[in-house]
Amino acid sequence: MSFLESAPLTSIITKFKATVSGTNMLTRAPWPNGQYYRLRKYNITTQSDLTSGGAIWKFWDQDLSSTTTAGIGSAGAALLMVSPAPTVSGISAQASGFNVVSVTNGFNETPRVPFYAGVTVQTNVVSNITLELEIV
Amino acid sequence: MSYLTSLVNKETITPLLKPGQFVRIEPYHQYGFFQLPRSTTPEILPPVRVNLATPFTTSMSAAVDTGQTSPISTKVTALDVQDLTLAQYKLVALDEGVRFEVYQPNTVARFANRNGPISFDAGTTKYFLSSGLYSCLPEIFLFADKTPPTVKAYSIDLDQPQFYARFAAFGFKYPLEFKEMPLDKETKQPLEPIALTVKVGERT
Repeated sequence: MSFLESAPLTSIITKFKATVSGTNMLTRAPWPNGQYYRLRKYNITTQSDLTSGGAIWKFWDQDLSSTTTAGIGSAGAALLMVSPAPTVSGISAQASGFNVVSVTNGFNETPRVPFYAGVTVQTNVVSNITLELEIV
Repeated sequence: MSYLTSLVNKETITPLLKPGQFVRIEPYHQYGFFQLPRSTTPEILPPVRVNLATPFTTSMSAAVDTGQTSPISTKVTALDVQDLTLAQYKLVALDEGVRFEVYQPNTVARFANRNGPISFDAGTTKYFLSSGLYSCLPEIFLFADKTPPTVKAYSIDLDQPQFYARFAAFGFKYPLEFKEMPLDKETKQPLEPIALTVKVGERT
């Protein structure tokens, strides 16, 4: 990805967090410097057994380390929700034997969701998450 | 983004001085007039990477909520050049999550406005580098080993300390010889045309 394909005067940073479960903050946005993040790409992988139900990751804007920041969204009103495959009631699309699931969204597909305070995620499966973010 | 007072700050990176031309180096009371001898040429200085942290041993602290952390402050001698040589460097931040301030000498901010020092980071420099807008890159001049800049690296990453706070410097060096410049008796102006005036900061 060329830097010419990023917005002027921005830089690109990658953040990674392993064994994410429940509610976790993945990264704090550089708000003290007057900057924020825009999402560019993500990769999510879980080794959990998904046969008993689908996996979902709910992203919203919150810095869990700071009470002075104001986030946008919540677990109940996520800015971005990601699922590895369509799940239909009564039918397990994530069937037995597919216990490792990875979801990757590239530059062209990922909406440029802004995260002004931080990137927080809630998930029902233990997973590793890697994000590529633009520091705006 | 230049300390040039002549009209030669070009978009493409070309030497500012040609053999036989004169340069006035400020502060005048410490340096004065020099000439690039006709027998020498400007030489390119390929990019030098400078890391203000030390991998796996000395990290740069993570940023804090107040926005100001204790920076890594280093007198950078890695950019020094030989005696009687002027160096022209363009600066590019290499690592994301870091911003740099340049002082030359120790406490005089090289890039500043009325509000204070102006820092640069990967966002504000890599973009210009990729776009070929070299004239927009921060530029410093060094004279021999007399004017090493002090560079401060501040983390803007709130998550964790970093072992890489690097910038790169590239440009040209101009081997010079001192010139006793004849002055007009009435106007006190130099009698030879001055191709370039640069400021390298006080000797340290």
